[in-house]
Amino acid sequence: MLDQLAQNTAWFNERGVRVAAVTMGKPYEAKMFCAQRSPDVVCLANPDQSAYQAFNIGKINAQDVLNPASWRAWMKVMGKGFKPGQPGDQDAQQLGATFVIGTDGKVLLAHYNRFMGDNPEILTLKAIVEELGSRITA
Amino acid sequence: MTSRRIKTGDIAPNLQVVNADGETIELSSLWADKPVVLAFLRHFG
Repeated sequence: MLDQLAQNTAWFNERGVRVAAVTMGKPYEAKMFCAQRSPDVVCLANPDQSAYQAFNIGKINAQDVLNPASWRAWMKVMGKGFKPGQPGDQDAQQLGATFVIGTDGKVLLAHYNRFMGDNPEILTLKAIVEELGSRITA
Repeated sequence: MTSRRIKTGDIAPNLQVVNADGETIELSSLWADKPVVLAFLRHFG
């Protein structure tokens, strides 16, 4: 997800939308990781996963690993040239999620990954932002 | 996962988090002045 966001950060920023990523790394790890992968994305360090818990983001279970959709998503991500890394001391079972949040704090889109690689389409995120822009300028 | 998931229209949770410089910030500061696309990542990789 981060690579897709990094490739599109300028598009979002030009439309007045911030792009931020919550990681499970320690601050120095998050800083290095984001500097390499997504220097224009606001990067957060959440090694205790408190933010993941606050947003009720789930974890992978055995059923997810056996889910063919999980493997299809995995292949799709690999096919785009994004190579997954090793979890190190981070929670390998933690799933991701993506939210679009307005300035009033209201959630405009909530996408909980059902399995590895189940990220929202970047076009879906852009459509939300385009809709937001038309409401602001209307 | 039995906890209630956040849906469109809900108010996003706010809590203190740490940025990549090690500074504690309010998560809500990310959307205080402009909308935000907030991605929760899996492990580094």
